[in-house]
Parts: sequence; structure tokens; C-alpha cells
Amino acid sequence: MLFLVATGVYAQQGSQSLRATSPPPPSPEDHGYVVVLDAAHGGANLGALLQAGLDEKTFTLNLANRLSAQLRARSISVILTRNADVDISGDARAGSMNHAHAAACLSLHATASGNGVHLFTSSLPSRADAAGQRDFVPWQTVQSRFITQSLRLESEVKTALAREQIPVLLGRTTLMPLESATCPAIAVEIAPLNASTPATDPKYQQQIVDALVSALTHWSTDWRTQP
Amino acid sequence: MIPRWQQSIFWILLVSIVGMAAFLIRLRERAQHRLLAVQDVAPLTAATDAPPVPVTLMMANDADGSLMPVQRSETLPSETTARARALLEVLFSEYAAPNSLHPLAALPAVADVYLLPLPTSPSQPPGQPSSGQPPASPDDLAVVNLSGNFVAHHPSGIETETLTLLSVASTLHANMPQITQVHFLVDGQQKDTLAGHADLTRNYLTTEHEESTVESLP
Repeated sequence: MLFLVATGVYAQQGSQSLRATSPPPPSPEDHGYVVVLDAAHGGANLGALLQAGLDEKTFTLNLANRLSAQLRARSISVILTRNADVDISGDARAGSMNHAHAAACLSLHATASGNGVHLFTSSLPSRADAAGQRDFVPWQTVQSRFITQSLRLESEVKTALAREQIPVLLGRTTLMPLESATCPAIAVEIAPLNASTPATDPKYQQQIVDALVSALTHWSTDWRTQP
Repeated sequence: MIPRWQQSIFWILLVSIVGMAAFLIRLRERAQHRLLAVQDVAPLTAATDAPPVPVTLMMANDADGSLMPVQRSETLPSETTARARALLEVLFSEYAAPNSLHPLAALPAVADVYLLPLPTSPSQPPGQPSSGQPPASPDDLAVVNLSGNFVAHHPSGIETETLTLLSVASTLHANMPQITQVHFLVDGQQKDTLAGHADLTRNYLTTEHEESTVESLP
């Protein structure tokens, strides 16, 4: 896994200097079902302060570890963009996603604002290459070729969360590493459930993990039918 | 033995140097006070006899991720950039109020607003001669220079940061329709994100909120 991450970092640094050639969407025949979990922030980049003594970086890493354990228990391959308290650039995170040829990329965040779970896809407009052609795409807009798939993945996660009676808010934003990911990619931001249930509540967290596992398990069959 | 006249000249020159140094230091202090005084009175003073005008604030709601238009009546300066800045101060004062649906710190938020004309689309109508310069567009880019102290106290999160940026962009457009894009600076410098999430390196379209805040369940 470390090798994959490192390969992603170096390959990404090279491609950044010019323009990234957008690879075709991952072919289900060529690659297995791989999920990339990106625990946001890390190191000196603390992220939001969720409560006294708990930063977003710690919360997201714990959540990523918990989620990856449950996915692996279902024989789903998982790659983490970080598995320690280190700060990784958005470009390096996107590099890890792209080199994994992932079927789903989830960037995990948390906040003290709002309530429920906020799902975000890139605000880039969707684009597709002309038949038989591969256009050059700027690194910052690579995700535009995967917007349709990302929206479908978002819908899958939304349905699973709604089944758990968790309020869901959908939105679009500009956020690294989503913009440069060549995979169906969404950001999952966990807010308090309500005034009395913070994001750190164990039962609430378990509901979210269960919903994400259910969505990603379902996606493992659905993504093969995506265009 | 140094002649007496040379000693006199030496002392006269020395006193002159010290005197001129003191004079220059004094001049510098006065110039600094004058510049600070200019900044203090800068853009926000509206004419006291100007009538209040209706303004539309696009207010963010963290609970459902929406932007809702809210009507207010405010006295605003007539000069365009001062008007834009005053408008945003009204917006941020609403967010700082108790029971705000998008709570933000009660701090001065906007240092400056600049308006720049946007060039028109490079596509030239067929048969029309090109003048070499892109023709002027009726659309403006607003450059909003946020205060670093305000940004340091902004809540961190994808939703809350995105809503703040979209609220600013759409409020400017609602009251000054010529503003179609907004770029954000912090203390005059480019910054990667507002508070760790929302991207500040790109221009925001003032119509972006129509696509960005969409749906909440259940």
C-alpha cells in the first residue's frame, strides 16, 4: 500500500508540471473493485476543531481505519491515502486515487457546523471526450470526466444514509483532491446529528459506517454497469 | 593642532546632522499618522441624508445548505466599490447576530472590494474585424479582500465555507447585477482555502449557488 501511495506522489509531481493526460475511465475488466479512503487533513493541518482536544484530522483517520476494517472484512480492497498523522498534499492524495484505478474514492471530513452528513461532488461541469479521441485535460479539472459516475455514487451513499434515518445534505464544491481524481469521487462530511448528538457519538458513527459499507458493497455491483 | 575654524565647522556640521535626523524622524511620524488617518476614514461612510434603499441579502442556512433571499432596507454609499463593501458588511453583521442560521464571528470581515471589467468572450462574430484588444464587457469581476482575522475565526467545514463564499457572490450579484464573478483574497494575498476546505484560488460565478446547494433529506 505504501508503495502505491509513493508511486502516486511521484507520478503526480511529474504530471503536474505540464498537463495531465486524462486516462479513460477505469475499465471493470482491467482492475478489481478498489475503494480509496482519504482521511482529510493530518500533521500540522488540523482541520476543524470538533470538540476540546479532538481535531478533524484525528476523527477522519479513526473513521477511515474503522471503515476500511469493515470493508476488508467483506473482501473489498481498500487503499488509504494516509494511515498516520501526516500532512499530505491534495495533489498527492489525488495521485493515490488515480494510481489505484479505484471504483470509488471517498474523502472523509468532519465539521461542527450543520447537522447530519453532507455529501459533496465536484462543481466541475461534466464532459466527455469525442468518440475515439483522448483530449488533454488540465490536472485541476480531470474529475469533469467522472462527474456522472460521482453523482451516481453520491446517490448510492445518500440512499444508504437515508435508510439509517440520517439527515443528508447534497452539494457541489471545489475541493482537492476531488477535482483531480480519475474515479467516481465524493466528499463525505460528518456533522453532528443534532444538538444532543455530536459527530463523535459512537452509535451515530456506527450508523454512518454501516451506511457507507452498505453503499460501497452495493456499488461494487452497480459500478460495473456505469458508462 | 586642529585650527579653531575647523573645530567650529565640525561642531556646526554635527549639530546640523543631528537636527536634520530629528526633523526627518518627525516628518516620517507625521506622514505615518496621515496615512493611518486616511485608512480610518476610507470607504464606509455613507451620506447621512442618503435615503435607505432596499437590498437583497442571500442568507445561508447551515441546516439545509440553502441560500435564501432576505430583504433589508439600508443606507449605502453611492460609490460602487464602497457600496459593495458596505453591502457585505451588512451581510456579515447578519451572520454575527444571535440565532444566526450560519453563525460567523462578529469581526470586520471585508477589508476592500475592487471591481474589474471582465473581457468579453474571445469568440468573435464571423465577419467582424478584430481590433486587437478584447472588447469591454458589461460584466465585472469583484475582488473581495477578506480580513485575515475574520478568516482565522471562520468555522472550518466544506459546507459552511462553501456557503459563505456563495452567499457573498450571490449577494453582490443580487444587488449589483453587473458582478458576474468573484475572486477572494485574504489580507491582499492569494490563499488556498478559506478555512481548510473551500478553494479560494479560483473565481466563483455568481450563479453558482443555484447548482451548488441542492437537496437535503429527510
